[in-house]
Amino acid sequence: MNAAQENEWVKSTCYMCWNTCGIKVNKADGVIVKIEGDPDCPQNWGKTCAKGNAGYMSLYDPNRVLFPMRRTNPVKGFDVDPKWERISWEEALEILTARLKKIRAEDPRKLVISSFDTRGQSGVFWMAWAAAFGTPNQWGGGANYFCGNGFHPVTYLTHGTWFGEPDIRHCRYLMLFGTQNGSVSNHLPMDLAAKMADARMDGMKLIVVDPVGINAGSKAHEWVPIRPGTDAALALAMINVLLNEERLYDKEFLAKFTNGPYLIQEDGRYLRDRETGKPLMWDLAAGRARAFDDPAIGAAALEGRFPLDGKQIPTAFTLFKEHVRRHTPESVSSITTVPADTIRRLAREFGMAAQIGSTIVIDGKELPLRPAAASWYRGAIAHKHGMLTGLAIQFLNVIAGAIDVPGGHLGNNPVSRTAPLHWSPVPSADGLIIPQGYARRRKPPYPATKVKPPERFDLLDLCPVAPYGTTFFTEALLDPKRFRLSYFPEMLMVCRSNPLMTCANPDVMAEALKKIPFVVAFTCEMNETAEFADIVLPDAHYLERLDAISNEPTEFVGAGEGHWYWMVRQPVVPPRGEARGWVEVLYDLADRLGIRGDAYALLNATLDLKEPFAYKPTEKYSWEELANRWMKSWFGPEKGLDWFKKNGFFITGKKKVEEAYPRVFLAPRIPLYVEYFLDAGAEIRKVTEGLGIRWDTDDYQALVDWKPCPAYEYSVAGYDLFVVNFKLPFHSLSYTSHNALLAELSEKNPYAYSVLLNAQTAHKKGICSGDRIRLETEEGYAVEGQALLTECIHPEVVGTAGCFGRKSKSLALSYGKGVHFNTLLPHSIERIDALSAALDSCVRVKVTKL
Amino acid sequence: MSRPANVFSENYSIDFKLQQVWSIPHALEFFLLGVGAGQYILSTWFWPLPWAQLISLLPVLGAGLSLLADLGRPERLWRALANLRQSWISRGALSVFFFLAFAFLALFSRWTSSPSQLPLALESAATLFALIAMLYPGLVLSSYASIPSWNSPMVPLLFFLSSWITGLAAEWLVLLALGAARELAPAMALGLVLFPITLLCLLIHLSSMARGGAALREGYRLLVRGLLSGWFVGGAVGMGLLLPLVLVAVALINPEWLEFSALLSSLFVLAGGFLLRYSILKAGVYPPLF
Amino acid sequence: MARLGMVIDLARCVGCDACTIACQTENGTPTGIQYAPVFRKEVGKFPQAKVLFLPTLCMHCDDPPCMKACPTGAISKREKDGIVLVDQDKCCGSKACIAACPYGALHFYEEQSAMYGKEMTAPEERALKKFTAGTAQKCTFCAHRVDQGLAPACVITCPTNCRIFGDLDDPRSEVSRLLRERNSVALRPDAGTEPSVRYLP
Repeated sequence: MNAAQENEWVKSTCYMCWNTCGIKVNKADGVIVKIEGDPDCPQNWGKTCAKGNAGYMSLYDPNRVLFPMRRTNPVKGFDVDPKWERISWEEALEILTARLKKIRAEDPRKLVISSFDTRGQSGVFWMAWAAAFGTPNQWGGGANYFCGNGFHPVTYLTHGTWFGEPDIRHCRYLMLFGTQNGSVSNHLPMDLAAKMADARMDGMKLIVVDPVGINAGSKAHEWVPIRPGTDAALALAMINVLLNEERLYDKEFLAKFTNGPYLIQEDGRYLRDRETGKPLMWDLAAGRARAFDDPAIGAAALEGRFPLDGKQIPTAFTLFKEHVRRHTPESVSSITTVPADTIRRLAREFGMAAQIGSTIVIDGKELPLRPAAASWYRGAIAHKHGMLTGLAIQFLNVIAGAIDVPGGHLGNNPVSRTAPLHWSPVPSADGLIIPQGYARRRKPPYPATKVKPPERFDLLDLCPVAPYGTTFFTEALLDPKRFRLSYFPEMLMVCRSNPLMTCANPDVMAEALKKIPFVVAFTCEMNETAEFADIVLPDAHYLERLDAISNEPTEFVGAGEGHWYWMVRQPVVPPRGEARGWVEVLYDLADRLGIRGDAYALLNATLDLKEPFAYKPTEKYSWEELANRWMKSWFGPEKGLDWFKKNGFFITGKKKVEEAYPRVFLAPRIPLYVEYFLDAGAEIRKVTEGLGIRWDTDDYQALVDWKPCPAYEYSVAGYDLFVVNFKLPFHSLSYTSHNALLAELSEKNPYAYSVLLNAQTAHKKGICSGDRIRLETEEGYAVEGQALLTECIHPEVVGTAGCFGRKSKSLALSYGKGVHFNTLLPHSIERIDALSAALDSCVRVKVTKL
Repeated sequence: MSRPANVFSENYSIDFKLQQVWSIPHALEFFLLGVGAGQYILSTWFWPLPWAQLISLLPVLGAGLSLLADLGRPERLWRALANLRQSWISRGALSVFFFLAFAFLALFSRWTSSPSQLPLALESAATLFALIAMLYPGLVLSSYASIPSWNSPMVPLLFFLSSWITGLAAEWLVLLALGAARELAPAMALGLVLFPITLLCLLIHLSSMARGGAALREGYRLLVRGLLSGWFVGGAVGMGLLLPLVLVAVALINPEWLEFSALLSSLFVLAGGFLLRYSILKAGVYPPLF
Repeated sequence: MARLGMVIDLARCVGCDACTIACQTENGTPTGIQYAPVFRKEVGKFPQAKVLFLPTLCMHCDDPPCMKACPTGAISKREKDGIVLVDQDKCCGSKACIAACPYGALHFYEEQSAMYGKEMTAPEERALKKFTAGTAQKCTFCAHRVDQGLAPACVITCPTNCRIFGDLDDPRSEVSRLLRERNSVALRPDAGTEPSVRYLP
């Protein structure tokens, strides 16, 4: 019997999704036999989901890539045999080195790396490697197409950090827009699942706004089915009701912590002090305008119009309040299909639940208590106008004063006052939130980055507020001349990314990929992208891998009360076959390319490594030693790699209240009125017009709106239903579908491989459960699948789950099963959100019975 | 992946589930046992003919082989006698064993011309255990509360009656084969009594299913209108009971049809008897768990 | 002497299937055999519709129908804690237990087959050594863990803590407390099995 505590247990970090749960892995006679959650790890307190439990079966997959191979068939395509020829690692490295040297000499930007391996030692180190090599060019997969595009910039703007979550512990009314937090998808799934269950049992009301009600919707007190792509309209209507009908909003919060009181001149920009250039507010007591940070200011006016220079100058909040009036419950009802009564009721409930004005004492400090929160993710923001949508939903929290206070929406750690790292947002010259230190690791949207003619292939030079530009990268691959780029990628290295299957229609993605002359795939499974590679290299499985500091405090340490902790991922078994950790291979190449020293120098700066542990550029460290030095530099000489291997994680302290709920302790403000978008848009227009590039800057507006996405407006007869993709709790991205244990769940779960149709809609079309049907878009993209009639989906919507319909035969257990949603998505600039670079993920289909 | 290990494993929907572990081999076992036991009793007490008893034991052995084929570990068949206290399968297995033992001993004692008391006593014992063997398959099914349509006293009664009918049909074939066609008339007249009784019991069982809980109604639907209706209505009822009833009645009125009718209707009855057990097994419906 | 049982809080369960997989890996069950599947059922009509998730396992009944049905006496109920176990050394593979169980808790292990179709993986090879092909098997309440004072694998992995395990005969245990404080139901009460697993709707 597989008895617990028999043989050896090794602590590590899961990597079946990106949430870095702490695990302990049981090994018996050198074979992994069980994975369990580490009961002491604050990330997940001993819990692991189906994926985490199943992880080691991917390691032992007999179809796994175990040795380097070279393509001998120059033709690349789906179902085309690459005619792999086995080669040695040395041969592979020689080939890579030769090409990389050439590229580096010509133009290092011709090297592109595509990877979602973005955290922990591997993530930090490959990015440093790329910087040392001299390329800014990163392509990506679905994670950069549909994931946090309209979330990360918004949390950066409003919290000062990369990620956020509702404070479920104190929340009494939670609205989820297009996310299944608490149902083991999305963020910190183990932690939020436990908190969500406790909160719901304790009386917290859960409202789930989603076209699909299968998982999270089924746990909600109220499932609000909504037409895809219209979440912003609902949020704005609710804001309208709260501001203009119920008059339920946190005036004090808005006056103190947002740019609501800033005075706005006619051209929409801040009215600025002539001398200092600082934005002005109206001092009610003094009856005059003062700079926003003037210590003499008494009560600043939140609302109203004030006489200045012979004009009546409104505050930003006044404009905001007036602007949202256009989103009446009645008009929004026809946009969203949510009844007007429901919209009003939800707004009222939200506003009442926020208990504006109430307080709570935590750790001896009195803090505002706002136990109402709205949270959102892919379903709402994987659309054109996704950034505006994210802002609109977050603004529900902002007007209720429910930001970074107990019960509201929290940032994942905008402030750290606990060793080893310290960071805290600072105010910009205009007094708005700018993230600092570790929280600034990713690309914040503010201040806007300088707009210039594109040098990066992902056109981020034209996207000052987007977190990444992967969708534009693909557009540039497909038609580079359009963007006046002076070079074209020559080599792609891809690991833990599958752009062919997680982005848009695979044939279009393949067309883009095939333009890159040389592709190197580091991989465990022979996925669809790897099949297009010229060289395939066996990657180490996460259970074979070492990654120092595998988690991330600005994403993978819970928000609010809790602890600071730092984790490790360590090999449980040696790599199978000839597999090697891909970033270790990169550092091998760094040696051959002579960039190792540069990479070390960059890492010293990024990680702020101190003597005697900083990496000496003239030395060559093993991967273990690199981990060891990093850990010792941060945590002290006693807490190096050996300590972490034994203990799995290090708790550096309990969060202080100003770290858990930082809002009242901070001065920088939230841009309720996104004034800087105006200048950003103007800059882009200047540059793009100068280059003769057509570029949509319509969304660079200071006041948020709902705007219809392409599928909303489009309605050709017969193509009457929206198709959406929804997540299952036992799959993640594209690399779990063929895991034997998880594939079995897919076979048995009625919702996994089927196409979900609303029962009434299906009856009208004469379709029954079990019928084979065809979904076809106007572009002619089509998928076929088995219909499943359900009551848990919006009548205008057809639903497909996960990333299925796999095209690589190596993925034997999932090959051809289920439906590949992304096949239906066209790729075009018109479908990309200019602000956030999200690709619109709903499209209209015609459904026919076969 | 191989066949699901139980019917609940097929998919995760909460729904009626049809039992699938017992199918043709078990239906065959129950059927052959009934045929053999029934014919043994008829051949022993009503129409004793040389070889008739021996012939009747062949299907019983066939039943054993069918069972062996369906066991996961046939080499452990002997363990099946271990739970006499609770399991009807154990009790049935023991009865079949004793039935065969006493029957073969009786044959042997007749063959070696022992004093007539002994064979008679042995045949009585064999008959007793044969009766239990005719009852036990139905008692096995009715002992399972898991499947409402099995969990009824009508099931053992139906299997018991069917064992008589199929035994009778086998007896007709034996009479024909052993050149005792003149005995056919009374043998077939017995059918005129047994067929309607069986039909009546079947109708009572069906009617209580039709008016019962959801699982019973689902089972009824399967048998009468659904996937099993062909085998059940057409096979077990139509071919196995109604048609032979007509054929027998006609034959008794027109004696020149006697032999032809006996041959035809015995085959129908036998096929129908197998299909009755098959249908009842396959129409075993588990109610939804929730 | 204890009477081990489980309370499953359906309000908490989110249908993530962690328990199903944890059980499969803990016990190393053969391909296709899951002792603890989570069933689904839709209730209601749009838009007041939802999916109900029903985690299951062996009920370790007080009056186990499998034990009564088994001709070889391979199934027994432990005196010390009520765990019902199949002795696969005695099982002849009659499948009577599988038919007799109202919950589908028994599974027939027909023959070895690799999860990935072609080759057996190392963990499978190890795990399958303890199962005899041609016999029945089922959830054991992780008796091997219980005997070491640990909770079953499905219990420890559940992210929403919806499976609560303990001694039903101990009034101070959490299972007893929950059954006292809240309404609970058993599955298939008509079958008269007296299951040791109850559900909080």
